[in-house]
Amino acid sequence: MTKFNQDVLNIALPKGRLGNAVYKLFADIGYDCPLYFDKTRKLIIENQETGIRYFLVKPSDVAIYVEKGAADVGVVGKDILVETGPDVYEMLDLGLGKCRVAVAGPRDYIEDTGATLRVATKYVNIAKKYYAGRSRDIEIIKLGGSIELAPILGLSDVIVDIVETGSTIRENNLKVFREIMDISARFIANKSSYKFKSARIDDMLEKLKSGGL
Amino acid sequence: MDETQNFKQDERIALKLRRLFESRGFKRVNLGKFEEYDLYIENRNFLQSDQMITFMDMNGKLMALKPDVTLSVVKNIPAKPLPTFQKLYYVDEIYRMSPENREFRALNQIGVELVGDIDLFANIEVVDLALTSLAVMGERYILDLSHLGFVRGLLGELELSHGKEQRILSAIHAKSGHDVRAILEQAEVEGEAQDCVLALSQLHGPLPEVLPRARALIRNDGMQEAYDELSTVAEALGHNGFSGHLNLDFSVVNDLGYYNGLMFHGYVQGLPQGVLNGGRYDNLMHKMGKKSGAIGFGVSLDQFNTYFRSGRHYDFDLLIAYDEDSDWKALLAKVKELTAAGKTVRLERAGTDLSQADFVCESHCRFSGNKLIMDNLSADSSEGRDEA
Repeated sequence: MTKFNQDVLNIALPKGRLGNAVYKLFADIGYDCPLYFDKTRKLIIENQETGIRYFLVKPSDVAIYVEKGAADVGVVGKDILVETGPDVYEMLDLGLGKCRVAVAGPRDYIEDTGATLRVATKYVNIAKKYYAGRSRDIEIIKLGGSIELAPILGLSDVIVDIVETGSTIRENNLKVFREIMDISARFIANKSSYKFKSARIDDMLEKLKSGGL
Repeated sequence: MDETQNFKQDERIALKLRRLFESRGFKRVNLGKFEEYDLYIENRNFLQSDQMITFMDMNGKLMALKPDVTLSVVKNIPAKPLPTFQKLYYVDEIYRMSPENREFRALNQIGVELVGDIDLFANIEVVDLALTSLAVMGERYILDLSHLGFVRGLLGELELSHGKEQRILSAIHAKSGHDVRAILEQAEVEGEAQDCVLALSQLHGPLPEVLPRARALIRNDGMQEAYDELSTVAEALGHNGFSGHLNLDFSVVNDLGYYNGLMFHGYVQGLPQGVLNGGRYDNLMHKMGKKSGAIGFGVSLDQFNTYFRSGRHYDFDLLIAYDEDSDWKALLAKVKELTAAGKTVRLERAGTDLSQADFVCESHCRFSGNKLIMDNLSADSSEGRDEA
């Protein structure tokens, strides 16, 4: 049962800017490693003295790693938690990576409420739920990226996507019509890990609450 | 000798749990593989899913393969309460959609249901069975115990809309203090009331230690009653050796329309997801027209084979290669002698190409004439050679 080594706390970080920012935050409160991913090609880095192990995964996969126990804790955007609904504890709002999920479309777009609305998004569940709440008949067009392109090319009427500063939206002659939810990075924990490593996880939470945040 | 040594983990646990439940006077029920689809659709919030494998029966009625056993148990309970408790257990396959890959899976479940005029001891007995079951499954285990009367008592004071109450419950379920606060602020619940709900959402830990903190949150009779029940149950189980295994944790909440009273989730170290789920469900009983109360739990056995591998590198202890000249009587007698001593034995003809075999044996030997001859002396070969 080496995978569930009691002494090591496994932390899943989202690959990219957010992951780097989170690592810096964690390192500042004592969860640092001798070598970070920018200096090594290793997939896993660890600090054997303090019993900390990090791995970088695709942001949308963090919740799966944590739910399935491959990581004890992790950091993931609220958008992914709402979209996939994993069975984990969502213990803290880290306040990093703030942005919004919003409905956007061409600047001059006027909705034809008599027709089915074509919505391009990677957030299928969020979009469905949002429009179901408004009793709007929609057709979902699921895309993996470059969502903004869809309304420009006429693939969809509007998009449901993440908006950070809004500059991509503006530069492409699009406009935010409505905000669906505010997003930020959340510290999540595997439910079982939180039973058997509660002291370590609580300790980390306390340090985050008092020091880092 | 452990008769179950060659069983898979889930089979072994199922067997031990069956013994446990029978030792406490629970009777096995077998309720078949399917029910009318309506039963599940009327209670889709209880199942938290409406995905089922459905088919038409000979009369054109829509049927579904069971996604759950409790509903079938409740359906078969007589509407008029019986004078005694009904104590039942089941071992069944249920069919559910896996949320990740959206495919149906057959899952093994074993569970108990105690139906009747549920008193304090009935609660204690079922929680005890849950803890004893967990002890069968792993060395380190935790049962998170919660009381919906306590949660409902507190939320009832706030007079929230149904939608907001549901959102608060799911934020409490996720231990998401920041979401609880955001929803309360939206609903203009402030001051002491907000602090109480926040405190409740964060309250967890070993029962005896945390109980005083729960006591400080009591605001009405309903909460007091729930608190008294929790502390009585905790005392009885702590007194019987479970004190280190019982947590108070109000994040164990579920649909208040079906559940009431005690609720619990069990975890075993090494398994990433909870294995045991249970609680008091008088509300479901009443919804289905039954007058009695009920409490029970289910154990999902599927994680065990995935995460608790046996660690053995072979399938059988001994391979015996026999040839044409073997004395069949002696060979059969030898096989029976070895298996009676607890060995597992595989017989193959001598000279068979074993490179394609779908099994591995710990040691190999030959049977020639009326004697067993060990091939590899490195293996435990004393028995065979003694004979020879």
